[in-house]
Amino acid sequence: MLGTEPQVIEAFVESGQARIVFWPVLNHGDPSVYATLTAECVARQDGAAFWEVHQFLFENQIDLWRADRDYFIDAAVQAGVDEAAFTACYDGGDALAHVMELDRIRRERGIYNQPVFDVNGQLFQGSQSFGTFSNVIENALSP
Amino acid sequence: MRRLYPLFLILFLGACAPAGEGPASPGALPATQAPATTTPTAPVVTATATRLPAETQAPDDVASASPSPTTVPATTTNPSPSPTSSPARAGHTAEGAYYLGDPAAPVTIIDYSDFM
Repeated sequence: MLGTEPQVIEAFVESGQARIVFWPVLNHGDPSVYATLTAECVARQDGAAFWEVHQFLFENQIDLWRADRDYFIDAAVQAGVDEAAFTACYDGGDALAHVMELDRIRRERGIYNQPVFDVNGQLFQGSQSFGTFSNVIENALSP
Repeated sequence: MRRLYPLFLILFLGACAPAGEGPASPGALPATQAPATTTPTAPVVTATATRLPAETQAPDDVASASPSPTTVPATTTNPSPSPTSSPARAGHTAEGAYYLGDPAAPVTIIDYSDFM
């Protein structure tokens, strides 16, 4: 949702008509796990910074295949969170267990691919245009 | 005097024979000289070669956190998240998934995505 997310946020989220939930899908091994763990540990310090790192990770998807612990620490620090607290979270098991639990729940819900969008219970497989999101959200908002 | 010629001859031959068999305790020489033929420069080359992998094993902490098996810090670029300031509220669901927006908004979009 990298391309259309800013448009959806600007048009519907900031106006209070919609909220967007990011649910992690860990389908690509360690890179998926540790990128998501990074976002989780940033969010535990600053919920708003989560969305900055979320954007950054999607924009630098290619680099994530070779990213190491230092790379993720740098990303977190650049997002403005405390490095020591972040590394404690990153190296500790609690946040990792939480990320894995979210991944388990999405499987339980029958979500096996990515991306999948659930708009008030209506599922859409694959990337969608802003027009599609707009129509579906407008329909959901109409009485 | 002529009777002494054979005696001189025997003594002469006797003196020559021991001279040819003289070194009865050699054998050690070839053995001690053999190592001298190996060149001492060879270990120097192997020593420098073993230092190279030592530099690539820098991220020990990676193993402790067991993230990705292929970690090459030198090739990773400097991360710099671009700030996307949004007045929308940030929070998390009961399950612990993070959201942006009004928790009471009439429409909820759940984005099931992988960062990869």
